[in-house]
Amino acid sequence: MTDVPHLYDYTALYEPKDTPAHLGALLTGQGARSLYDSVCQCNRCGYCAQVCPTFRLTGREGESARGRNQLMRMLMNGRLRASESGAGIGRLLDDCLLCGACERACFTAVRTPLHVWEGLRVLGIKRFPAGLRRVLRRLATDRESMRGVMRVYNLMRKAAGMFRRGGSSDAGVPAGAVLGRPRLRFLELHETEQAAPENAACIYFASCSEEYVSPETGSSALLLIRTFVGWPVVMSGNCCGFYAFMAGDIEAARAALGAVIEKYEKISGSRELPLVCACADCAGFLRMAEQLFSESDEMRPRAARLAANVREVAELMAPEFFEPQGCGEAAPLVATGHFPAGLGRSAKTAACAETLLDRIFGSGYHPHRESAMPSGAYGGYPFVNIGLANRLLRRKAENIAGVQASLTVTATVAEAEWIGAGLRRYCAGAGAAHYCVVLRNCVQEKFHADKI
Amino acid sequence: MTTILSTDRFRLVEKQLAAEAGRENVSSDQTSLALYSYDSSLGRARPEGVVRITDWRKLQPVVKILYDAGVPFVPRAAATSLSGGCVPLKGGVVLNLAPLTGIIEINTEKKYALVEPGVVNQHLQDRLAEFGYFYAPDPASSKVCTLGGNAGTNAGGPRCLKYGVTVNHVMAMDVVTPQGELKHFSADDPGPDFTALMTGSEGTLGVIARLWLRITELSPAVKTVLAAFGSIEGAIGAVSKMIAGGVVPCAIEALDRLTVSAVEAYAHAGYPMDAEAVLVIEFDGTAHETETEVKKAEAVCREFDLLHWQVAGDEVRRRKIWEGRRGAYAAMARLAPNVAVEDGVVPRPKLPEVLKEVRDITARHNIRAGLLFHAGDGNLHPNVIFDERNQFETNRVKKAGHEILKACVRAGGSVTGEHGVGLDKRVAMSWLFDADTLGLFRAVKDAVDPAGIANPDKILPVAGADDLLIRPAPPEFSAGAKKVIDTVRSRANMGAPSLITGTGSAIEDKVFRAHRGTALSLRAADAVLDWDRANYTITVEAGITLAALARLLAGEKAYLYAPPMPGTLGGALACRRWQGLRDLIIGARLLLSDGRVASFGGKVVKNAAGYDISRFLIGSQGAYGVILAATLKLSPYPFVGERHIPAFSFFTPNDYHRKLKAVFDPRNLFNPWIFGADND
Repeated sequence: MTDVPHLYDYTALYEPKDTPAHLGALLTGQGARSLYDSVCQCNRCGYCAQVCPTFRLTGREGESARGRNQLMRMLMNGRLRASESGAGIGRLLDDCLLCGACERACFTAVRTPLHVWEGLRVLGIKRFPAGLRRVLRRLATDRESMRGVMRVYNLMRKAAGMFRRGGSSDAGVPAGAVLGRPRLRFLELHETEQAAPENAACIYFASCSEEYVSPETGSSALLLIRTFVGWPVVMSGNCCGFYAFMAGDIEAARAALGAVIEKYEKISGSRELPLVCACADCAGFLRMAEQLFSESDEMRPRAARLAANVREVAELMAPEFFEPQGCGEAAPLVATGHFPAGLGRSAKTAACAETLLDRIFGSGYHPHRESAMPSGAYGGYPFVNIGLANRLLRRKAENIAGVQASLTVTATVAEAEWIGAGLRRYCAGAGAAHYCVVLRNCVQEKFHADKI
Repeated sequence: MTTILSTDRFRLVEKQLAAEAGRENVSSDQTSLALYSYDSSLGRARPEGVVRITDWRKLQPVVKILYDAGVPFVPRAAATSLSGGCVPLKGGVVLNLAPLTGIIEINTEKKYALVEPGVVNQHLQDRLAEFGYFYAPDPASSKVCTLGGNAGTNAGGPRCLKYGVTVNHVMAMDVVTPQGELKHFSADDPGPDFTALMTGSEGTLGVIARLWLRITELSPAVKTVLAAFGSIEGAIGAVSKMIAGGVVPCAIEALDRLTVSAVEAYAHAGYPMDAEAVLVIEFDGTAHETETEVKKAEAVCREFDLLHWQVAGDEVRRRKIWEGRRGAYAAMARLAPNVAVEDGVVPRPKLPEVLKEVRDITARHNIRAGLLFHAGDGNLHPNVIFDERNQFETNRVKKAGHEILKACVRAGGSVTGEHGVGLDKRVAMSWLFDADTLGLFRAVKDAVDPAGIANPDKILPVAGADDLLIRPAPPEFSAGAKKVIDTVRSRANMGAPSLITGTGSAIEDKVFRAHRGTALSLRAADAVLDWDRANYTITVEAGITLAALARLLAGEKAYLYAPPMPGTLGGALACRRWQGLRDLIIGARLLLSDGRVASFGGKVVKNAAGYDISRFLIGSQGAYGVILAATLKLSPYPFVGERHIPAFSFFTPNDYHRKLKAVFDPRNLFNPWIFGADND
């Protein structure tokens, strides 16, 4: 195992040009900082600990955000040497979900997930299985391969059986029938429903999950965007690079992001068109674009422009559009929301989504206990530590059962699928769906679906 | 004799600990040791091992193993201590209580919550809110600090102005003693109040395994006000007059101009930028009560240099106002890597002059500090920003911190209102307490933990630092009290026992006649030593009758918030005639059987410095010492509530009573029959 001080002399500033395989300067609330300076922004107040999912499960300091930050600090200033500490440090860092809940809770927004991410890379810890890493690299750099890979994935899902019904809600709405359909690229159905770039009100960023895993979410997002923003240009065949980043593959993540930046610039030209995402993971990661290119004079401003224009569907919708309790008979008795933190995810978006759901479900909307706790699906975590992922899922299911919610509304397809599977296991009769699917239902009710 | 190296002693018990706590819960690798070497302070020391406690029942056998092997231990849950309370100074074992997060019972009928020590304060508040209740102590760090830690440091919070600090809400506790025995202490137990002694003892007298906490019903209405003043003096003057006028909000928080500007840049809470001081005032009660109180408060504030008065019109604005106050730390934290939160406390009227001194100190040391304080109770928290990697700056911050604490002590305050002494403020204890009092603290520690293994080297100053007293001299006793002291001294020389008496209302003369000893009457010691009208505190000698005290106070529209009780103040305290007395006493001067006088507490309503002997003595029935004088918190309105005074009965000493008796009165000279030694 490599000792960190060899690579990060704490007395020296981080030199991104010498270390192209790293993040470069970390963009913190106190300005661009070297890794060590950024780590030292933590004053050990502990506010992050109680939102850290692994700490909440284990009660171990090493499994907390503060603990991981201190580990990095001690590794870098020589108080702790990785080679003398066995595999412990690597395991503690690897157990991190990189969910960013700590960053959101921290007064100074210390960039703990990025510290951990760098720590993993410096210590040479590979986060995902080798085969998966290769696939993610391929997807990030060769978007044409996406379709083939997703076909295989869907076949595996079907074979697995447990995913047969996806994350649909057994309460009858709104995703039930849809997620069981044969997986088609939703654009094959909707490819004509977009504007020419010069007339577009925005750009819709179709994520891989919307295109291949849950076309219904993509269709719903498209409908909501058309209703609330105007006709979009659909940016398809995307890989934002989020999963490559989570695998520690910075080159692939940069390549994917770079491709998105190019596409965005090509479509928008000189206009500052909103880039609208339905997937909170994609939106969050796209917002981090500037961080990934912090060392590049050429790419950094372009990445910053992209990040500044990223929007999520939830924040573009006007709550007053919806009638109170506006889902009518289709509404399940009780719904709850799952909008935890994530890298680059916006608390504002989560608040917008909750406001919308609160309005349309009225007294039927119940936030569940520990609603900010991740469910274990974040960033492919089941491939990292399936034990902890399952414990998080079980806890989430228990909390959802605590409010007797028959529908759990999420901000990503992956979470809807994962929580849906968990609910089937632990809480029969309940399901989960992406918020776009839920809200689409209400919009259709208002305008009579057949006319839209 | 084989010398066991400190690094070996953990190895010797590791297998036993693993058998009790589980193999996966015992660790001694370098990574674990490094991870449990710190808390939120700047202190650092590595333990020799870490034991994670996953079931409160395992705590007792684990501590027993450590005791048998002589291995020191430090309890730790969230490790948010700002004074180094969780740093294992002498190595040993860190007991990680963070997994003990069980809220075992919420009993709304008997109004208590039974919790494990690792429960986060806010998590309990959230659960209680579901039932329409709350737990009054609400430290600013309530989102992350634990109830075990709150009890360990006797934490307060904004609401404690009206509702009191942690010790006022601890009804009972299970404690694992340093010897590894599980004890249950209740505030209702006859005899001295061990829950008061354990609360605030920072793990130096044992480890809290479970807590029974008093819960309170949520008020139907809450009103929050933002009041901006042209001067700090104006703001404090308004607060004092408000309280004197019978308007007692549940919280009065204050921020100075620098803090306000930092808060506005961060939280955009709508605080006026042209004010020298901003008060966040909150009232709770019925809708009518809160409306009335707000009007009264506004009238008072307008007598001072009020610039803006804004009542939160809705819940959104109310939350925003509090976001600004609670975000004050965050606002400062954004400016530098470290924030040192000082924690001095002074009598409220002294706030303006001490705040001025704090500004002078920070300017002199060239450090940046935002001032925020709990204006109602005089607890000030200068938030000093710095970078701990800059040794010069860090030293200046530490030095300035000490000077701030000295200023508080000189003003008649204390070195900690709610953060605890821990490691950082040990030396400051010598500024606050005289050698006799510190000696008594040490003796208490030695009696309860003779092996010195429970969070060793905390709270008490290191040897040789006992003669640094800078606290103002307490008011002189009356001639009557001096005579009592002389009498006790001469009896101590002769080894003659004393039977302590006042009016005889609690312990009748026939009891005395049946026992060996000479009466020691306190009736002549009945002087008022200090009446701080602006601060609403009074220090009186114990021989004054409660009826006389009530008459005296009523003349100036001040009240002891207690039902009428017979006899003297000393008798009522010593016999705990009413449970609520623990909420009124904030300081005491105790005459020991050898004639020494020790002083505890002071004129501040929040005080986490040293063991809470003042409250411990309530119910001690004169067997530990003579309460010569007590400092009491006064109320601007008379007592309303149950007036029944329960019958008094003697306590039967147990082993813990005897341990402490040996500290306070080793020769059993005071009320000797209680400890059964008067038949010789």
